[in-house]
Amino acid sequence: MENSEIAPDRLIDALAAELRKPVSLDSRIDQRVMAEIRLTRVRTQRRRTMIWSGLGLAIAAGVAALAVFAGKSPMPGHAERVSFALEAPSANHVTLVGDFNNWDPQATPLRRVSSNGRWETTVPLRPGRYQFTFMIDGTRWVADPRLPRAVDDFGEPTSVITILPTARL
Amino acid sequence: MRSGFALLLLLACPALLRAQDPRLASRLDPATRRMVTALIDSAATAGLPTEPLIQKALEGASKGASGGRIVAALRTLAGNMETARAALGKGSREQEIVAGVAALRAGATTGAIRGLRLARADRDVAVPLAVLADLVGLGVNVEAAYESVLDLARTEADDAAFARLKQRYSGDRQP
Amino acid sequence: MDRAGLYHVNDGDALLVARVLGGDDDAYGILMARYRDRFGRYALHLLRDQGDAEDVLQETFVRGFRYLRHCENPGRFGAWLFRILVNRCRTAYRERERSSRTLVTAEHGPEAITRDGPAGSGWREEIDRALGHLPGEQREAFLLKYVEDLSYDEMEQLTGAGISALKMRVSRACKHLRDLLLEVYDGKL
Repeated sequence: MENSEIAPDRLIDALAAELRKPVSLDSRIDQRVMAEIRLTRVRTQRRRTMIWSGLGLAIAAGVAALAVFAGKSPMPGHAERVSFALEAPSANHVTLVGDFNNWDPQATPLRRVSSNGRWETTVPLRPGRYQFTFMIDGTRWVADPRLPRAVDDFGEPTSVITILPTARL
Repeated sequence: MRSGFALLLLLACPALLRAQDPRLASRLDPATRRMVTALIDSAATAGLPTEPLIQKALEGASKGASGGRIVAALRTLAGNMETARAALGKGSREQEIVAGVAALRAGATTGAIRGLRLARADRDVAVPLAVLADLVGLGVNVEAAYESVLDLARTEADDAAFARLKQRYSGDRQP
Repeated sequence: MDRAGLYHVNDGDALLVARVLGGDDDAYGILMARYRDRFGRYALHLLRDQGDAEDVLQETFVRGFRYLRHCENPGRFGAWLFRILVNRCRTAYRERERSSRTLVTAEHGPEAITRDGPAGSGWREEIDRALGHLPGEQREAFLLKYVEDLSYDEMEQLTGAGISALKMRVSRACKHLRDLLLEVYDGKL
């Protein structure tokens, strides 16, 4: 083969030339970016106040709360396991209360998982929009400062968590 | 006294009112329960979703609200559902109405709800409306949130794209 | 597009960046238009999935806007943004590998590489499949070197990997690609 030595380099050159050709992408990406940019502008303007109010809330309540996605169901409409965690070192008893458990303060207790006062529980939730709060020692209601707040009707904070049927979030 | 007793009987009559939801039985005092059940019944007759009303009553009960406050919250919610349904138009789905209520309560106008409906044509608008409400709940100005969601709706984005819009704002994913 | 242009100082970019920082969102639209095709191509070849590539591209532009004030040399905005893109691609690649390793392996078995269609007829498809068989680091190094036309110094800055490691990755990628594609390529000649 006369080209046995040079063919591989030609091959790589031909390969690179092919890969340098333009590709086709969704032309609406620019619009989507511009949609997000509007929010970024708002966020930048609000950033300082949000950080300080968040810290103030955590210190005042003596807790920091977060809700995390623990796993994803691959099938649309199926329940996903959603983990809820709360840091409340001085608490003796913590429960999760929301419209997924008929606002029953006894239904979903959290268990203490660390010596620094982290409490956790996992709840299977189908796609949907849910409202919830944590209840500490049967008297104190605490919302998750990182999640959207629902409009409050009863003088206690309420968080909103949305689970979408799409697998990739 | 007799007429008062008769009125109570009438209010409790299962022929006139739907069967009470068993979840309400142990959580509300009898007087509140009757008024709540009547409101739920009216909503059902009007073709509105009833589960959000039941949950609102249970929420109020858990949070120790007075009967009057619970009933007032349910009246407001039922009114919001009617408004949202009117803005969404005939044939709107239950989850769209619920999300529409969330958007309204967050401060969106009925015009905004109609705008999203028009932008999404015959597609479900529950997720865009919920994301709009969530963005406001995260502290975004309602007009800015609406413009962003509307921009996205006009690109025929899927529901996951709306979720990402919110996630990127809320920063609740890894950096 | 100028293949090496990313690493040249571009006064036009510097002006546009200044306009964006001054509040002119439309100027960012012009910057996006400048880089979207090239960046999209890189993301698509690295991730080999249209949806993933578009997501990463979108995320890169949003992050670029959000952190624009940290771009120390606006005249090299393209290079700065490309670094964000490369990092986002790595993250997306790792996440996908973690979540769908079994599926990917099952879908593209190695035996499919040389048996699909007559030689020469699916050159582009064969390239795509061959790229898919490269480990992520090799694919990245190959694309940066041969498609984006970067120097090893630039690649070192961009990836944080040492030059000798990068040369090794490129060399192994080339060998791997030759092995996978030579038969098809010979048929094409």
